[in-house]
Amino acid sequence: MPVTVSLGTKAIQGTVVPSVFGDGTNDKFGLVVIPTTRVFIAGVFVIVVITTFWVGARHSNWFRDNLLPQLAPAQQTYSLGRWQMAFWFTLIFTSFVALGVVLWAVPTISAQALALMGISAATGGGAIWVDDKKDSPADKANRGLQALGLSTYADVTRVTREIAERQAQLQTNPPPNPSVVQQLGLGIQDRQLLLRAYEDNIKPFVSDGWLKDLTTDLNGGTLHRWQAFIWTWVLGAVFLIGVYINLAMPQFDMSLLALMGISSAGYVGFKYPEQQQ
Amino acid sequence: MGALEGIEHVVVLMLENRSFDCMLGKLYPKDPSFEGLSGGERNLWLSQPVPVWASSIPLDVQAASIPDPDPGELFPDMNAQLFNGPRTAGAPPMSGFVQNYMDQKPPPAECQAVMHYFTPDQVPVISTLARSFGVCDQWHASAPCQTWPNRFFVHTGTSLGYVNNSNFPIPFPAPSIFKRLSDCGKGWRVYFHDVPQSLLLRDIWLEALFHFRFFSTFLSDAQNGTLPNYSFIEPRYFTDLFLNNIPNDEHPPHNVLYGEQLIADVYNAVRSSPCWKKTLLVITYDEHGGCFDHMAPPRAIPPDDHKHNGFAFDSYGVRVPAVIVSPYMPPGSKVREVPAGLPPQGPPYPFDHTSIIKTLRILFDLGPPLTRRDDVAPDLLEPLSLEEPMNDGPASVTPRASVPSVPELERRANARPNHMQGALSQMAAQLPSAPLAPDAALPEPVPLTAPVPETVAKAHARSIIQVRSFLGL
Repeated sequence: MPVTVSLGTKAIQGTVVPSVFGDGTNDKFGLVVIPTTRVFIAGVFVIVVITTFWVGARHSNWFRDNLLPQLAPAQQTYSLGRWQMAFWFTLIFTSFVALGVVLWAVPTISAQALALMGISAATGGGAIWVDDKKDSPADKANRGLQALGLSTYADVTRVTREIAERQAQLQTNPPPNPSVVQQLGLGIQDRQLLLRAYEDNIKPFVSDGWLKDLTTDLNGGTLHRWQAFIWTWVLGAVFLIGVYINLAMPQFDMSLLALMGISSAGYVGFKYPEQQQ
Repeated sequence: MGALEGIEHVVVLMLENRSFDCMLGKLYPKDPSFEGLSGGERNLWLSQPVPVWASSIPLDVQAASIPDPDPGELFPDMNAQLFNGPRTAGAPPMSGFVQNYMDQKPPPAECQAVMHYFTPDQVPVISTLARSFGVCDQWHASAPCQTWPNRFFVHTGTSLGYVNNSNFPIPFPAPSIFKRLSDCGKGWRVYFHDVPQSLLLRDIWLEALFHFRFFSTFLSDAQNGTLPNYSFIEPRYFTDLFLNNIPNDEHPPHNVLYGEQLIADVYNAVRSSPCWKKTLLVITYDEHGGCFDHMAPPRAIPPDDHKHNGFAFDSYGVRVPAVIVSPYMPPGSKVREVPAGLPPQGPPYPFDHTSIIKTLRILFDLGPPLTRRDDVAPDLLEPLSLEEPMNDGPASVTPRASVPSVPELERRANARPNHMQGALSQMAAQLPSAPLAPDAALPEPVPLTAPVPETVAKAHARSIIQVRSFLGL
């Protein structure tokens, strides 16, 4: 059904408003009406992707370090490097697909968006490389626990199970003879001491929650982590606003990209001497 | 004002299992007033002479850990080292060190390991302090016995007839100098790194939680000028993989450079403390650990009537290093009870671990002797001959930097516990699980029977939890 649309500029009395389209003889402009359905589909898609990553973050190791294999998966700390990588991937991927759905055309991925993904991938990879290279407190804890016969979390659950089995044997009717009771008691005590040593030494490496894990190390809050975290959100907001206003992948200013690069380099650089939780 | 009036703080650091010749034998070469190594000392092995020797400078990790494996430490080993056979009544010829070392199963690869000594340049910290203050070349282990009996001699003046680390009663019932200090209103602390052996003393169990502190507290107490009247420092006996900590007790085959670091930390803390001018620091070792020494131990007064298979504790053990640090000590002192050399049968008697008890009793007016041994022991006050505390020595000492590698840490942690580590883990396993109430009845001594874990790491992990639980730390 045809509709009437008017377009004008704000007139200033006594001024001539120049034409902004064509050569003044055949002025035309295109107006695209975005179907609500496509906006809805794009919105649902964005929500699904974000929810998927959120659920994955909470219930898997996608965004967690593997500092200590002796920890339960849910106890592993969140990784700033992996989170950054996931943040930019989610942002760019959802923007790309949402724009494609809304505009019904393949959007152009700007060089700046590619650079952002590259910076975040390098940050994530650099963080993993530093963790692998340095002898961290987690490496010491890992060695210490291995020397106690605890190489993985399965070993921890095995010890817990062995305690329960021995306690059950003590409760049998008729009760075991005194020498067996003594042996069982010694076995329980020995394993309980082992678990106490385990609990004492894993404490610094257990997750304190998403925000604390990303912004602190063993000594508390650290500037290099906070600045990487904050700048990621700021640049992410700039990116999103650009996508919304322009309905296109934003053209970042080079200085913004340099800021992201410096922030990430600072995080990786200061990661080497940090006492990581 | 002399040392008797001026000294208010006594600090004792007791390391492990090195002989005098091993650590300080070449401190003053060719000095007739010093009973060190001439270089001609030797033992025989397969009829061949095995002389004393030193590694080339600088020390690497392997050379700093000689002898490896650990020599024999049990009472029969001691007799074999001194007499090259069973114990006899005469003066020991000091000729059986190599034979006893090679009699181990399996035999070590290098027979000369027990004849090894460190040059002063290789152990610069203890050597510098010995030259800057005083070295005692007449300090013997209190008995030709293993670590625990000798450590009990320094705390109680006796080992109640026990000659080895094993089979000790827990808690150990002999009255201790610590309890004497408490009863006389004097302060004391035991500063430890992991498992303090002195925790076995029965008469301090009710107050242990007030007196036992980690070594870091010693450093802060020294810095704050709040050292107690008596501080006894126990080194680290175990490898701790969680903190990359390696033993600094110098017990063979532990690297002596970590012990040098500990000695430096203790001296530097004391030297920079507001308490410095009023402090006596004694650095010594519990027993010789199977390392060669050429001086025959003289006869001794038995501390009491306890015997072990006829041995009446009427003989001292092998000489051990002893460095006496105090601003009252003239620099370069050679502390000798008998300038011309000790007779095979006193009096006079050599310095031994009960000299510390004697010194404390005199300094702090602690009453009568604990045993017959400390009654006759020479004290350390006479050698502190300066009228004023004028000898400040070096402002600090710097050990050779030595950081344990991960392979070294893992090798030590996964090794079988040595006698000392095994006994300490047994002790820890039988400690009460919480601090005792001040009015609790002290438990009667029972034998040490707990099983020894199969590795140092396992022994350490369990033991420190048990120690911390007992001390409420």
